[in-house]
Amino acid sequence: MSTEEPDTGYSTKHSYGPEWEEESREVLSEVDFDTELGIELARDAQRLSQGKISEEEFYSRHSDKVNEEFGIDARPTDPRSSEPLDKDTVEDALNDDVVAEPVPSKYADAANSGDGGEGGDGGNDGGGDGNGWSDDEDDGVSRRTVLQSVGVAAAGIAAGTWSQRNPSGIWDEGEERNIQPAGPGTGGDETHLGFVIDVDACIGGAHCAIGCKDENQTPDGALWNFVFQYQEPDRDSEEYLIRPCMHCSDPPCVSVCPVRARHKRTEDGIVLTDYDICIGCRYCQVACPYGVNYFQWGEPDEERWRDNFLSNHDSVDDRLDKRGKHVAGPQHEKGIMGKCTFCVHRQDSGDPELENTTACEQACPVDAIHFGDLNDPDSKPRRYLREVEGRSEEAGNLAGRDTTDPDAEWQRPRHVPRWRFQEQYGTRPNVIYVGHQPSADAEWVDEPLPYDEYVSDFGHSMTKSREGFDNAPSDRKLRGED
Amino acid sequence: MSMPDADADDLIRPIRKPTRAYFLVAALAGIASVVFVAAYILQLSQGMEVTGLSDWGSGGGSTWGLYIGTFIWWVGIAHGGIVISAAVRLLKLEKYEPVARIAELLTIGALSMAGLMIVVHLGRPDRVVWSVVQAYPTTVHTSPLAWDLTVITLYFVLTATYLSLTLRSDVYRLRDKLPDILDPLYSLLLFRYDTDEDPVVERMAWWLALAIIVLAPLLLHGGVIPWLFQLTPSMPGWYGGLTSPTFLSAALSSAMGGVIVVCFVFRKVYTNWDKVIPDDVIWGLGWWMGIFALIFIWLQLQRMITGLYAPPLDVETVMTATAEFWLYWVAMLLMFLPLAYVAFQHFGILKFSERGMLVAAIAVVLGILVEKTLFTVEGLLYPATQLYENTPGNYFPTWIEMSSVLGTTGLIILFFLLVSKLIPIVELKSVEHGGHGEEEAVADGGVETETCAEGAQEGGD
Ligand code: SF4
Ligand code: SF4
Repeated sequence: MSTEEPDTGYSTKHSYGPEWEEESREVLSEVDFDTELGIELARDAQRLSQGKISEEEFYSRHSDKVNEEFGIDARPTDPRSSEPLDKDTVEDALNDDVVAEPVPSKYADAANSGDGGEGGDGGNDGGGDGNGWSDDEDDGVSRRTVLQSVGVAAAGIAAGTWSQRNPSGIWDEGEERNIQPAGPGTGGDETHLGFVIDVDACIGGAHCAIGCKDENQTPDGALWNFVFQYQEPDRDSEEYLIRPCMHCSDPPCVSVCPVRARHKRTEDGIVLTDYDICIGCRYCQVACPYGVNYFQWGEPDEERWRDNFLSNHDSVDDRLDKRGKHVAGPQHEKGIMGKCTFCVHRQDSGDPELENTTACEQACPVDAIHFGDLNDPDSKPRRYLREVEGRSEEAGNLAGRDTTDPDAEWQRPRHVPRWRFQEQYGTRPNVIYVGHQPSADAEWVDEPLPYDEYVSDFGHSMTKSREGFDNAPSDRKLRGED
Repeated sequence: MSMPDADADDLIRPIRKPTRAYFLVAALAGIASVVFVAAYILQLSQGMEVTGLSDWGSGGGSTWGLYIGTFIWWVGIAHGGIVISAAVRLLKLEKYEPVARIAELLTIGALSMAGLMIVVHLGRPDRVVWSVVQAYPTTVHTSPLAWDLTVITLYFVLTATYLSLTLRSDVYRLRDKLPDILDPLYSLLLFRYDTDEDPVVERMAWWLALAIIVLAPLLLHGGVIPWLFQLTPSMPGWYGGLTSPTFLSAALSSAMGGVIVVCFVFRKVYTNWDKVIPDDVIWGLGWWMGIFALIFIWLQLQRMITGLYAPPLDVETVMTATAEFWLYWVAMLLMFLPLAYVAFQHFGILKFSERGMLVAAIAVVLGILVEKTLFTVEGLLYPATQLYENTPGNYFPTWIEMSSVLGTTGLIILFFLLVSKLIPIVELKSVEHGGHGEEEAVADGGVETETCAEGAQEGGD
C-alpha cells in the first residue's frame, strides 16, 4: 500500500479516445520519429496494463522497431531487472498532460491506497528504466526527444496507466483474481458475498435506501444503505456514491466488539450483529471507517414493526438466521446496534428467488447494484465485472480500425475504473465500485439528497428528528462556526 | 486551641462525631445522586435518545460523548491511590503516609464511578455481565474494551486487597475506640487477625504496591484506556502514539488534584486534622500536580504543532477544529493557571495557601474533564472520511448526561462520608512516627513558610 503512487489514468477527460489520438498524433508528428510506432506502443502499453498481454510479449513485440527507430532499445527486456522509474520521466510525461492529475487523498483515500504500490511496479517495469533512458543521451538521442515521441504516448500511459494497473487488487489478467477470500483465514474457494456497484449508472434516486428500509424496517434515521451526492469540478454531472456496509474481510468492528456480538459469518462472510448479545457500547460504530452503523436510540414502535415486518416476511422468526442467531432484520429493541445485513434473511430463506439477492439490488431501477458470491466466477457481480472489463478492452482495441482515417466516428473508448473504498485501513472491503472514484477536488453539493422528504412505503422517515431532547444548535460542528 | 500533635484520637474523630456540616454535605451529595439516578431511569425507559448522542456518519453526530469523557476522567482520578501508595511503600516518602489511605479510598471510589459510567453509557446494561463473560476468552485477544474491563477490575481488586490488608492492624489497635455498633463489620475485617501477621502484611503490601504501579500507570491510563482511541486509524484526532502519554499526564495531574480536594475537606472539617495532614503534604501534592500539568500542556503542544504545521488533510481538519474551539482553550487555561500558581509558590513569589491550592486542584480536575470529553467528541465529529461533511448533526450533552458528572461526584462524596464513619481513613502509624518534625515546625511558629520551603526542596529533588 503506498500513498505516494500517483493515481492517474482514470479521468475520462484523458482516456484514449479520439481527442487523445488527435493530440498524440499532433505531438508525434512534430518530432522525427515514427508516429504509428508511438501510437502502437501506447496501445500495447494499455493492453499490458489490462493484463491482456504479458510484459515479455510487450517488449518482444516492439523491440526491433524501437531499435530501428531510435538505434537503441533501452527498455529492459527482463522486467525484473528494472530499476525504479525515474521521477523526471514520470513528471515530464505528466506535464505533457497525457494522463490525468494525480488524485491525492482528500475524499477517497482509496484512490491512493490498495495495491497501488504493486501497480507502481508494473509502471516501472514497462515505463522503462529511467536511468537507461537517460543513458541514451550518449547515443545522440536525448531523453527528452525520446519522450516526445514514444514518451508522449507510451511513457505517459505507462507511468499513468501501469501504475494504476491494479490499483486495489480488484482485477487482474482479465480475471478478478484478487477478490477477497471468505472469512478470515479461509481460501478463495469459499462463498463470500459482496456487491459490485456501478456508481456511474446510479441516478441518485435513493431507491436502494428506501427499498432497504421497507425490507428491513430499520429505525428512523438509520440508512443502512446511503447514497451520497457530490460534484467534480471538471465534470458537469452530479456524481453518486452508494454506501452499504462493506462486509470487510478484516472488519475492525468485529475485532473491537467486547462481547462478540459483531461477528463475521464464516460460511458466507456476512458481517452481522447478534442482537441478543450486543450490549450497545457502540465501539463497532466508532471503529468502522465507513460510518455504516446505526444504533437503536429510542424505543421501537412494536406494533408498527411487527405488522410491517410480517407484510413481507413469513414470520418474525425471519429475524433468526439459519444458525438460529438473532441477526436478521433491524434491531427491534432499544439500545443495540444495527447495520446492513446483506439481507441475511433472504440468503437463508432457501428460496432460490431470494437467495443471492438484496432489497437494495432489487429496488435499483438502473441495475447499479450487483450482489452475489464474489468468489464464484458465474455470480452476478463477477459477470458484471467481466462485462465492464470487456467494455474497457473494447475501448482499447484498435485492431481492424482504420487509424489513418481522421473522420472515423469511433465510439469514445472508456476505461472503467474499479476500486474499493478507503482500503488504507486494511479492512479489505467486499464492495467493489465500478465507475468514477471521487477525486481530491470532489465537492459536496449544496443540497444533499432530500432524505427528509423520502417516505418509505411503511411511513418510515429517512431522517430522525430528536425533538424534545435535541438541544443542539443547528450547526453541525461542535465548535459552532458562525 | 490546636493540640501540639495529632494522635489516634484525632484519627477516629470523624468516626465518632457527625457534625452539622456532615449532614449538610450528605444532603447535597444525596440530591445530586438522586437526580442522577432519576435521569438514568429516564434513559433506561426511553432509550439513549434522551442523550445528545447520535450515530456518526449520516447521523452527523457523536456516538460517544460526556459519558465516555467522564469515564476517562474517573479512571484518571483513580490513579491517585497508586501514585501515593507507591511513593510511601516503594520510594519511602513517609511524608505522604497520612494521605495514602485517603488516596486508596479515592481510587476505589473513582474506579467504581468509572465502572458505573460504562454501564450508564451502554445501550443494554442488563446484559453486560453475561455478554462480556461468555465472549471473554475470545475478546480478550482483540477488543481494547475487553482489555479495559480486565485492567480496571484487576486494579480494583489489587487496591481493595491492599487497603484491607493495611487496615487490619489499625482496626485491631483502635478497636476499643471504635463504635460498638459496627462490631460485625470490624469482626469481619479482623477475621483471623493475629498481630504476628503485621510484618508479613507489610511485605505483601510492598509487593502489591509494586504490582499496582506496574499495572496502573503503564497499563491503565498509559495503556488500555487511551488504546480505546489511539488504535483507531480512521479517527485522526485519536490515532497516534502521543495519545497514551497525554492520557497518563492528564490522569496523574487530576489524581493529585482529587487527593488535594479530599484532604482539604477533611482538614477543614475535623479539629486538629491540619496536624494529621500537614501543610507540606498538601504543598507536595500540589507540586506534583503542577509537574504533571506541565507535562500535559507540553504534550498538548506537541499534538497541536504536529496537527497544524504540515499535517495530512484529515488530521488538519480535526486539529483546526479543536484549535478553533474556545472550550479547548478554557481547558488549557484550567491546566496552565494552576501550573503557574504552583510555580510562583515554588519560586517564592507567592506564599503557600491552602485555599489557593484547593482552587488550583479544582481547576485541574475540571480542566481534565473538559479536555477528555472534548477529545472524545472532536475525534468522532471529524473522522478521516469526509463523506459525511454535508449531513448535518451535532453533539451537545443533555441535562441527563450532565447529571452523571454531578451524580457520580455526589456518590463519591457519599462514599467518603460513609467510609469515614466506619474506618480510620488515615493510617495509624503515620501519627505514631510522623509527629516529631511536625512539633518542631509548630514550635518555630512558622508552619506556613517553613513547610513551603521544605516542600519546594522536596519537589526539586
Ligand atoms: S464496513 Fe464497517 S461495519 Fe461493515 S464490516 Fe467493515 S468495519 Fe464492519
Ligand atoms: S455496540 Fe454491540 S455489536 Fe457494537 S461493539 Fe458494542 S456490543 Fe459489539
